[in-house]
Amino acid sequence: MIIPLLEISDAALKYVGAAMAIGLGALGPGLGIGILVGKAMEALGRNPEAAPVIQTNMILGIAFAEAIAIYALVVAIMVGFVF
Amino acid sequence: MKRLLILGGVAYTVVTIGLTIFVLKPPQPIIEIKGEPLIHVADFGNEMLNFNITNTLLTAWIATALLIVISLVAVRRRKLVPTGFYNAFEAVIELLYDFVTGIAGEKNGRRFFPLVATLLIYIAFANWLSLTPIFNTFGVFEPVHAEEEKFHESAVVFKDSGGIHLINPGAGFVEFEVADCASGEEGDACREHAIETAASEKTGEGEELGVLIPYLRGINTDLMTPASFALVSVLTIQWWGIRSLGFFGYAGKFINFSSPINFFVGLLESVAEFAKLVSFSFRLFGNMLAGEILLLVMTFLIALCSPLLVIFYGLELFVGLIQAFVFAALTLVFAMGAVTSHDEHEHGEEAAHSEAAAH
Repeated sequence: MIIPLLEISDAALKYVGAAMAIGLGALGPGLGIGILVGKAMEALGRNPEAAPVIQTNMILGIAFAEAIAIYALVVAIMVGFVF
Repeated sequence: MKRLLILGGVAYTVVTIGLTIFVLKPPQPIIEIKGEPLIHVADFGNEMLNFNITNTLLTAWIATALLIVISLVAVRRRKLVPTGFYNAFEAVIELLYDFVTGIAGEKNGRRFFPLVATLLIYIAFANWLSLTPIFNTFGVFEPVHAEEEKFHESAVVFKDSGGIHLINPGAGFVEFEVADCASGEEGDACREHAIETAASEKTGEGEELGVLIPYLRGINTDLMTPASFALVSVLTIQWWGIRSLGFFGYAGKFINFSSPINFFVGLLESVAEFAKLVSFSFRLFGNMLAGEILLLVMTFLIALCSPLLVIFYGLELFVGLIQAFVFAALTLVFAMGAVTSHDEHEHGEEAAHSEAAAH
């Protein structure tokens, strides 16, 4: 496809690709972590004695959600610096 | 007073950024993802088989040695009533032991404790060690090559004085114009030409273009280290699973012909084992690499000590500990999953429910 008026170089596309990889990749985990922490705070408010258990599980859950963002970040770093 | 302090901090940050960009002009950081070889030990002609001592491997050895020395010093004078350093050491171990037995129970906890605690202590120690300022600063100088495998698209101007090299704030920085170079022999010639033109423009007497290979680099910024942690962790989990359930009992989790649904559940479980390897290694690697790049970029942006840097440094301290904790805790949780059989798992949950009701 020919895009009129614009000449886009390969290097420019590379950076757009890297930015999109991390930008879209961070969207889902961001939502996930938000929901997770929100629910954990609700649970803490209802049952403050269970704080250690809730916090440990919350951090584990965050780590799972965050891993997805990290995959996106690794892809973005690879696109930006390696290829 | 508080407002004045914040205003002062902001003003100081702006001034330091301005000074860095307009006066000091540091070179841009050159980011390397693979561990860089310091000593070539054995060369088999294949990049996968070559054995090199990389800077991350050297750092891993140093971290191991330091941890051994610290533990030996701590337990040198054992007392019934602990004091001083030994007391702190014991408190850390006890905290970890309580954490492990709290999740896994007394019997399994004693079995899992050595691996889980080692992973946590070693990863956290190595992550924190890599935040000391001697990391990524001094190392050996490597001139740029035109060959494709080792080609860097940018380089720093070094004074060729031999010995240990540092990147000075005023060091020149070159980006080669190689965007339209073809691959293969022609590309090499094109790169060679780009390097020569850049060298003739930027370097003076006794100066050379090259990149710095630091002696010390955070061990988890090289994918190989987290991948080996993950291999150790996942393989040990399999071993624990086989020891607890017997070979056929454990294999029954993955290969199950009792019903079509169970068969597919087994397939998913086997895929999940390999997914554990990937997620373990990439989580740690991605976090630590991103942290290192963040700190590097910030230091090269604001070359003087600034509140901004302190904030990111604190963030990295936190991330280093949390990632070590997550690695160890996930190992523990997966190990618990491996040593409980399917029926036992349901019973265990019921028991937990009744226990909670009793409380």
